[in-house]
Amino acid sequence: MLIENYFTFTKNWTDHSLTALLGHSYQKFTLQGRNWSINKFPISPIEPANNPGLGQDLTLQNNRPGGYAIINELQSFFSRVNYAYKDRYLFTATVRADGSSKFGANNKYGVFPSFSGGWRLSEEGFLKSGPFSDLKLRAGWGQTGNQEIPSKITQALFTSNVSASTSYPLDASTNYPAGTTYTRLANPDIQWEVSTQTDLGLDFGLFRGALTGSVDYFRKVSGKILLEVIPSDPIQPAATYWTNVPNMSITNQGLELDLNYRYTANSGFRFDIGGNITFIKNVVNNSPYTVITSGSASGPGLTSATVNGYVNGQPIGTFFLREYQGVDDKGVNRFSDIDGDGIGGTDKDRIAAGSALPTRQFNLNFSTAYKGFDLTANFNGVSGNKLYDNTANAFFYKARLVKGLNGPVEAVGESNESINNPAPVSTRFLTDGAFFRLNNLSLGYNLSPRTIGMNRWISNIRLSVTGQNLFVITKYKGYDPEVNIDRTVNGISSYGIDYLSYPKARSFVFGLNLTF
Amino acid sequence: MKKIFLSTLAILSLLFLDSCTNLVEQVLDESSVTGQTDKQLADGNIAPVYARLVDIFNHTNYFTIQEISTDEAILPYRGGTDWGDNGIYTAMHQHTHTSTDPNLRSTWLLLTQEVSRAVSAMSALPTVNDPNAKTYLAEARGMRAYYNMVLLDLFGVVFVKEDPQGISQVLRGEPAYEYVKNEFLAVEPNLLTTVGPGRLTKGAVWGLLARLYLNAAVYRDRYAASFSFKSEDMDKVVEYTDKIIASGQYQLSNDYFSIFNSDNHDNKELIFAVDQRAELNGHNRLAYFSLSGDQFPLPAFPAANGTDGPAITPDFYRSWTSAYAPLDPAGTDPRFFKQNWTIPADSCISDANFNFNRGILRGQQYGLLRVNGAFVRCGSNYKVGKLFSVTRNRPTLAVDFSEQVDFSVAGSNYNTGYRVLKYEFSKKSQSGRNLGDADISIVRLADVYLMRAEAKLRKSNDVASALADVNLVRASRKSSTPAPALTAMNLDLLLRERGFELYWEMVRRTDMIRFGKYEGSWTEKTNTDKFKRVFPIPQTAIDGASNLPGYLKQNESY
Repeated sequence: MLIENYFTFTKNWTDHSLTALLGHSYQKFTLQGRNWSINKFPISPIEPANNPGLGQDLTLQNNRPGGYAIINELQSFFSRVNYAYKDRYLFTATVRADGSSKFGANNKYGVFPSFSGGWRLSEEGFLKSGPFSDLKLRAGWGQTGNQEIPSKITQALFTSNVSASTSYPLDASTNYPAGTTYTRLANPDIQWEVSTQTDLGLDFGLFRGALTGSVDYFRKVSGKILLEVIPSDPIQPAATYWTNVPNMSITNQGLELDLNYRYTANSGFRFDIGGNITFIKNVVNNSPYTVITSGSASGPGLTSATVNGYVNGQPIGTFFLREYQGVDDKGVNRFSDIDGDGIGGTDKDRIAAGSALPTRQFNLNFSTAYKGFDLTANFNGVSGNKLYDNTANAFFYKARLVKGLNGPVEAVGESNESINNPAPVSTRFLTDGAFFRLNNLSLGYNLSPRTIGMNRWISNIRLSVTGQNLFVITKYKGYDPEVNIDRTVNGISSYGIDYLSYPKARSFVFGLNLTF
Repeated sequence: MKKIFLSTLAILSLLFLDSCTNLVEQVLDESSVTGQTDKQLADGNIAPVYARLVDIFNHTNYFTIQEISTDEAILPYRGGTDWGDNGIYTAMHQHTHTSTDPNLRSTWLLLTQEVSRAVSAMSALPTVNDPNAKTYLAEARGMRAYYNMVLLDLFGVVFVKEDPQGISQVLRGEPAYEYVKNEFLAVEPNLLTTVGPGRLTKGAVWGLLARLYLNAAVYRDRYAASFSFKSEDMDKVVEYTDKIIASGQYQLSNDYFSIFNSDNHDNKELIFAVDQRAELNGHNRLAYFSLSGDQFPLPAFPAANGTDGPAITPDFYRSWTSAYAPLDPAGTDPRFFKQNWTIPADSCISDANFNFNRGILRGQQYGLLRVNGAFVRCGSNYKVGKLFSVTRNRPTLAVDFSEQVDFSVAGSNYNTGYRVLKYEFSKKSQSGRNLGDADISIVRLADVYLMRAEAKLRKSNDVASALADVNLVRASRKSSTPAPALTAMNLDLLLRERGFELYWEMVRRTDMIRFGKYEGSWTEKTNTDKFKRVFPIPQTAIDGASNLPGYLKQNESY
């Protein structure tokens, strides 16, 4: 449900225009879900979903119905002023107070101001005769809030029930007591995560718009980061709690370049070429923790190992791992001894081995047309990132191969590896995640119905062939480097972990379009 | 202009009235408990303090940690399908486990959760007006000491916490040992003697104190080249074991395996145990863990099988054969094996006559034959015969347990290693995993006698008294021919005797460390690193505490 009330005031003079807005908005999200189950369907041609009653086994132990219902409310008071002078100088200021029911009574509201300005240089007299068909300088500064945490974090929950993990026989009776336990710790002081962003940008058009582009610089610093962490004192009723991590900040800054060129010849031949590239630098500062885990390994025996997380001085999604150094003379894993205590592969020997976050992302597109033919191509890619191949970690190692299970050739990469050497989480399964992909290539021909004498019934005929995902250049050995299987730990999103993902399809589409 | 502005504002505020909210979070799907009676409050606070014991004493938790790390048990990566788990069970056996071992972590989480529940109960119980509240308070405090004692033994740390809102003090070494001891001593007077083995009683605390004093030298100086057992500690072991024996409350069981039967709650040998009830909390994991996936002990349930988990090591087996050569240990020592059924001439057996053999299972196994998910019947009876690895898709591989078991490809096959069925396979367990009924022993009377024998040997090499205690335990298993009396006694023989009496009862690692044997070598184990006497604190806990520099240090070498 969304209710918005606002009031706008507009006034235009010859050279000035002013718009002011005052408003209030209210949003209410209601989420609910229920689940039921039944077991033991007889083998029959009837789809179980069409008749769940066919199930033969239903017990409270195996089929306890579940459900949840959550209400989250957001309320904002906002104001905005837009001012323009001669359409040349533009200025906007906003202030909003956002409130969320997810936060504590003392911290429901966050106040987030922002300012931005624009200067259309191309409208200035001294540039009007120059090569620029468009030139605009933009600058902005603003704050925003993040409330992406689960509901009910500010409220403790202690429940009383008879279950294997809460009850215990106190005497011979089979009337077991309901055990009272905390299921969630309250954090009544939890509050908005705040991001402060500064932007600087330049849009330009040259040669009557044939060459257009933009340059953008952005810098976003987030503080009061909302994360679910493990308590320092292990003696706690609950294993984790949500908090605004004290002092920690995450800075995300970068430069984005965008350039497009368009050429049209009198002969009808035209082509467009364009591309953009973004350089990103992300860094976590002042985290009080060695690592706040964001991604954990999956697979038998691997579930307690951190794969990546938040590490000081490193980007988010940093792989924090033992450094694999091959196998020793007994054929057993060797790991670097970073802290110099003489033992490799201890807790203190984990290194920041790169991040799942690319440092560069790029996109290239090209299209051309001549007479009835047209050709378009689109490439994309990233570089500077790493990927953790959890699939290989869990399933492609020598000890499995020896027992007669299939695996790829890397499983025997170390010829003197012991047949019982385990494959713990380490940089052994970390690979370069850079790739360059031809996303889409499409060739079409528009045939004039007139030339084949069918113009009485058909207005247009188009023949086309499109290929998708035609090639990927990458060092990654898994199915596809563009992967992010969510291996979330607690409530923190994971990045760059591949576990049992499906490959991306390569497809060819042949088309014949007739327009009547 | 101004008028319009104001009137619009007025209209606007009317609209606000309609939708404005104070953003108080509504909770629809849960509620914290209120309005309980004093009895509900008292019971509801103490029950959770015991509740996770069943999970701690699970096959992959305390059992794996205390047994697979020793010469009593080995768990290879069976046939490429079972118990591979990326090498965590082979690492546990070879002492190459790491701080990311999931079994260590889950055991740690359960123990720390229970300490926390005890702290919560201790803050709630003093204000509860119920006649049991005072006893429960002592039990909660005593259980806090017990969980801390296990944390000390496994991870080398204890957590001292009084205020649920506060932060625990972390202790190690001598202060940790002193803390646990003083806590036990403080609660002992307020405990009962009449509530059975499932709760912390005076007898239970005496037994735990005896165990604590016996291991005091280890806890004081964990990595010592040899432990110095103090006379006064050994005197305390004797004092508390004497108290238990003199109380007359406990009695050695005539039938050894009935200590581990489903109905063992009233077996007078049990002093402290995990009270399992099939309807509430019981698991059958200790029975199912070692059996073959093609052994089906229950005619009523054709899905209840084993899992080809751990076997005993050949070394442990040879400790029996060398003790009794030329006799076979089966038939010589009733603790080794108990025959509960024989194959009838017509290979058909009734449900009532089919009871699995107990103890150490060797060679070809026989049992119910299962075809397409159902047992082969002969009328109302069940067909029995030679078992093959049908559920493993290896129908020609006999379920023929071999002495040799190791981590080679051949040694990791489904049939390798002699298996153990010590706890009765619960007759209620439809899946073979759930619905266990047997209480799981934590302290029992035979252990108490053996602790007294050890203390006397360690203190003054009192061989005569030690022999008397050991032979008293041996002679007590009178329902069949008891094991012959020993004529010599020393520490090595005593450790061997503890193995015979207490094998697979989750005391072996502690025993081997105390007897200085944990750095020895046995099948697939050559590691001699003394730092492995303590397990690593899970990496997640170390990372979680990293915001308080120096607060929770990782154990050496991890």
